[in-house]
Amino acid sequence: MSESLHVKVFRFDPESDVEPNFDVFDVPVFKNMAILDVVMHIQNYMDRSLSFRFSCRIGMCGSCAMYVNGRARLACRTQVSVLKTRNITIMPLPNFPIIRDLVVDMTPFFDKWKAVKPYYMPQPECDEPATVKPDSNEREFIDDMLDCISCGCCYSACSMVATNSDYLGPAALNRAYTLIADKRDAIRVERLKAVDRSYGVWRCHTQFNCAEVCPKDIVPTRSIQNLKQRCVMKKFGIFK
Amino acid sequence: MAHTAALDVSKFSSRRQMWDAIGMWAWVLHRITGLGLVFYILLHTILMGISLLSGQADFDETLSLLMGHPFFEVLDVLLLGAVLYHGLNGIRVLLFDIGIGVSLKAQRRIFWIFMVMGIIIWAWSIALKLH
Amino acid sequence: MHAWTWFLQRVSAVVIIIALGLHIAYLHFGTAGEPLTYSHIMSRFKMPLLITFDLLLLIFGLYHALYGVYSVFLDFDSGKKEKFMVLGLLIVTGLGLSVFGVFSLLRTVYSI
Repeated sequence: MSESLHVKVFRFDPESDVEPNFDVFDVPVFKNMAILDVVMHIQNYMDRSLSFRFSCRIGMCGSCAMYVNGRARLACRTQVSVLKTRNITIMPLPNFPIIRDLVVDMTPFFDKWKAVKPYYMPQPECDEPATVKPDSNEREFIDDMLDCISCGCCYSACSMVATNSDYLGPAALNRAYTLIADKRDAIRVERLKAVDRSYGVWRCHTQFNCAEVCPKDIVPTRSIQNLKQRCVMKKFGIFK
Repeated sequence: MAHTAALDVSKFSSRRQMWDAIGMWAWVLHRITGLGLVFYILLHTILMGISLLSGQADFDETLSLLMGHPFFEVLDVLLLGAVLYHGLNGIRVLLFDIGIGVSLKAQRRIFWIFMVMGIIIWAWSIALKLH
Repeated sequence: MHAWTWFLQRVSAVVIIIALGLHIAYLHFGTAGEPLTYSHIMSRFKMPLLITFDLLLLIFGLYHALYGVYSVFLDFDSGKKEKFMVLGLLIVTGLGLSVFGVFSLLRTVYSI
């Protein structure tokens, strides 16, 4: 029984194309097919020149984020059946410069990631391991936010990223939060100052677009709200 | 075509928005009503101020026009709608600021609850006006 | 600076909700259904609480509105010079209209 998907794929090769366009493919469906299977089928059997990123195939590396039927999604974790239609349109992630076809330039995303110093800094005077109990309240709040695989879905969904090229974006701010909220980290105050900027937390207007698309069910909005609270409390002399 | 050392990356980039998410619409309408209300507050402050400074006769004449003429009555209803939307969604944002409802499901639920409240208040006000 | 201005935005929102509610209630219930007249405004001097809330509404309303405009402006790309000019324009407008509004209301009510 051959049912097939009607797939429109965004194509653009800067070396030979003046403008982007869409190629159409009829791709046979199989049970539990994912979007990644769709583009791989096209690349293997229909058009070898189709470019896209992928690696682990199991939702851990964050490489295969694409814009499918109007939303940013992880290609390997999005079942075709979820889209509830035979008509599929695949495009590269919005808010990123396009290198070729479905491959985008992640540089601006990672530049902003680096700007919050996204790595734990141990306190120099610590003699013994710092302990935060795994079941403590503060740990629980941070835990959910640690699952980030820096896929870029949230960044591509955010309207503020679309209009303001300096805005750090939900992923970087969420990452900053996991460290600022971590009592063991040595440069928490410095990090807070780095995000307490007009291009930092204050650009977020709680749209929740980031939470809508996150494949790891992270809510960057919550992290950013917490950061705003901390920025204000710091002005009142409170920093926990 | 010769390859340069740095990757020549295309400037083409889409800025597609998430029109299927209610949080997005809530924010867009908040902005539109906000800008509308800014325009109103500037107009209102200037007009009221000038009318007051122009003395009793001019003031009474201006105000009876603004508050009597059906065209302005309609505008008044729209103004109230904008105030109600912006105010209620604003309270929703205030809730987020104190840490309440900051999850996908909760923010949607709160939005709809406030919209229902807003429509009820708006309808009641229009009914009051028509009496 | 941003933390303060953002916080004030929230404070002004709460003040506006209360003051605007009173303002609209007075307009509807305090004028016996007739259009507002000059003597209505003058009679407010018997109610200093009402004047206070009107003035609070004016000042906080202007702050909230103009900070909102600035926020929209910042959401888009702009240079340092443009930021400075827009901020300056908004501050001048805010201060100017505040002074004008306070003056015109107090002059009416207290015949200064």
